[in-house]
Amino acid sequence: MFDQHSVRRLQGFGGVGHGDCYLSCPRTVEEIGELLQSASRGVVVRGEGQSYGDASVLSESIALSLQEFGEIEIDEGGLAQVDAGVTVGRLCHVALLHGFWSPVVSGTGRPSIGGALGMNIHGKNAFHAGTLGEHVRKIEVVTGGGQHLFLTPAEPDFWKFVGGAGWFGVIVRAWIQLVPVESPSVRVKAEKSRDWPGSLAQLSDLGSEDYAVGWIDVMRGGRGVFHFARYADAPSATHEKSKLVQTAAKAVLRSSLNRTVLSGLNWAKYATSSRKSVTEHLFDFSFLLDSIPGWQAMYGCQGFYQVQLFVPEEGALAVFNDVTRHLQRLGRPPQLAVLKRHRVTTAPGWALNYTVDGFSLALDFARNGRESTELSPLMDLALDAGGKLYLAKDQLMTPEQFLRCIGPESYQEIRLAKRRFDPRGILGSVQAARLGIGDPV
Amino acid sequence: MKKALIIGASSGLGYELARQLASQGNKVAVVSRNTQPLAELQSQFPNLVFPFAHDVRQTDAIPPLFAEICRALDGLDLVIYSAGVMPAVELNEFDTEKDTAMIEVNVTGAVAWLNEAAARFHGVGAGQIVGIGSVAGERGRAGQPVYNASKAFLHTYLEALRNRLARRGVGVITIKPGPVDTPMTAHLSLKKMPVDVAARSILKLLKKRNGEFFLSPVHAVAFAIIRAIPSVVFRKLNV
Repeated sequence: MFDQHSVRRLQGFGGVGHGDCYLSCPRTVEEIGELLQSASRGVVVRGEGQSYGDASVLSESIALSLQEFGEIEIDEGGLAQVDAGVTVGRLCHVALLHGFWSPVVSGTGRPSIGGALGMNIHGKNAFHAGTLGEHVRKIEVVTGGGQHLFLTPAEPDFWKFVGGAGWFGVIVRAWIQLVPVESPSVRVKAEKSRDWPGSLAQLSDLGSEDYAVGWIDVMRGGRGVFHFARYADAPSATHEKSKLVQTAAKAVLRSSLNRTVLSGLNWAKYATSSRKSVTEHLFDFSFLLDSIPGWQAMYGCQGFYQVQLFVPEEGALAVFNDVTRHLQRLGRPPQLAVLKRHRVTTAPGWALNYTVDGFSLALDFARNGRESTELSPLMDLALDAGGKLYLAKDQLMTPEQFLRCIGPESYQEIRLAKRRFDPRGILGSVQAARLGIGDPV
Repeated sequence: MKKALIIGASSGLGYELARQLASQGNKVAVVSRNTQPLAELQSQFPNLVFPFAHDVRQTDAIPPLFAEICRALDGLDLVIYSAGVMPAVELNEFDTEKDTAMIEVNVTGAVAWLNEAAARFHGVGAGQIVGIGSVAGERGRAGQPVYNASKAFLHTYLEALRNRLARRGVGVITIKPGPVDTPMTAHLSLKKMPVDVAARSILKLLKKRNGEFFLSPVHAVAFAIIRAIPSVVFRKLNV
């Protein structure tokens, strides 16, 4: 049930590791069901491959792509019926034409809606909007066993597929409630902080901000530059690009990313950041780096890891100070460090829930081959403080860390759901096998 | 760790290449009609050698077997086609049955296996193909018309694959050994290269990624000269 010559080498966004998979692109729900029921080898659900690690890679498996599912329909109330193969960026583009915007967007417009829902992504508005799944009214799925279902958030099974990492089935279509916007613009204001306490304070009382994000210099005690944005009431004739960050990123592409360059860039970002409010296009603000094709090449041909630590508010300062000390001791500055505010999800019974009432710190590291010893302790720092880790950004978590992250009850729930929805154990990924969620067929 | 597939691995160069690759810690799928030597190899390297029984003349069986092998190895980086036959042929013998059997193994089998490898490597944009040709493919000689022609075919086919696949990042290497001390050449009274030396040289040449290679510099020079000899002169020589 697969074309032997359709084999492709697939990677995660971070470009570390690969798997040669047989790409299969069914056109109908029936074809998906047939494929899952007849597959004699493992199947990995593959969107646009934008998860950073190994969540959508499985060597010698069938990579089930929903790229043929690409329709969007939006009604007058902003309820969007979106096929799983549509990208977040395209949804936003079409939504804007109707006067709406996606309630949650990733930092790039490239993920597919299927992938974004499979990982239940969050964005720079996570502190009030939560995760994308919380704005979904209904999903259409095919389970690993080939069963065709429609589910609403009122049904607990909904959260096996939304935020289920593709372990239990394939999301084919979703009905997402968009948010109305008056214009395609946001007013963006910048602030600075001098250290970790100041950085956490910047994100502690966000009032009526729509978006908030901090760019942190972890090696210098957590000082940072923060961007706060609100939807603009009226369209602007001109939009200012985020010139500083784009210029910096382009400069980085031309330079080697040694410690001195990074330190200089962080200093430049800090020193030149202005508190002046500017108007930016929603696309520029939301998908900052998409305008620089292949920007991740700046991390080198060995690829990179991202570690995103979710830490409850009460322990955040201590954990982030420890992160700084750990990285200073190693002499390993992250190429990028992004701080965001979060609230706990309202999703009931989401076994892979990664959200906290607190903060997340996302750290990019160019690969040096010592990640398991150097970066794994960072994940332990978060877990020790009752924090969480996020599968879309994971390539390093051990089964023990995973168990600590979700807890034994959720772990057992996942095992039972796996047996129920995917009785042959067809669906998997390198990540799932690494975390002990069964080796696929 | 490389994941290699060797077709024609029950004896001679194929067996020795498999043995040396496995002894370096690589995973090797070995394919042959004669499964006993494959089982011996597997017993020497139980977690690294994966034996598969197959007659290369059964071309219909190749696609599913190829997929099964890729799955067993959990990927594929290198394919070596080493299967070949060279039956003794008398100077006055014109036996179509014997010649057809030679073409099936040396030509059709090679194309059927290496097409599968080429399609896969073209898809993934990586990998390396090695074909074991022969100095015998450099000229048409009186003693082995079809063997010479079969190796010449292989050289040209591999050159075309090389030109087709290089832009996809896939390497194709043609090896042109002289006489190597293997069961296939047992009936020849020539100076032969020890098989372990030949295999070691071939594995070293993998680093070159692409190209045609003789296993000795003497052969490289001698066959450059031999190729340049006009046909009218060549037919009068006893080479």
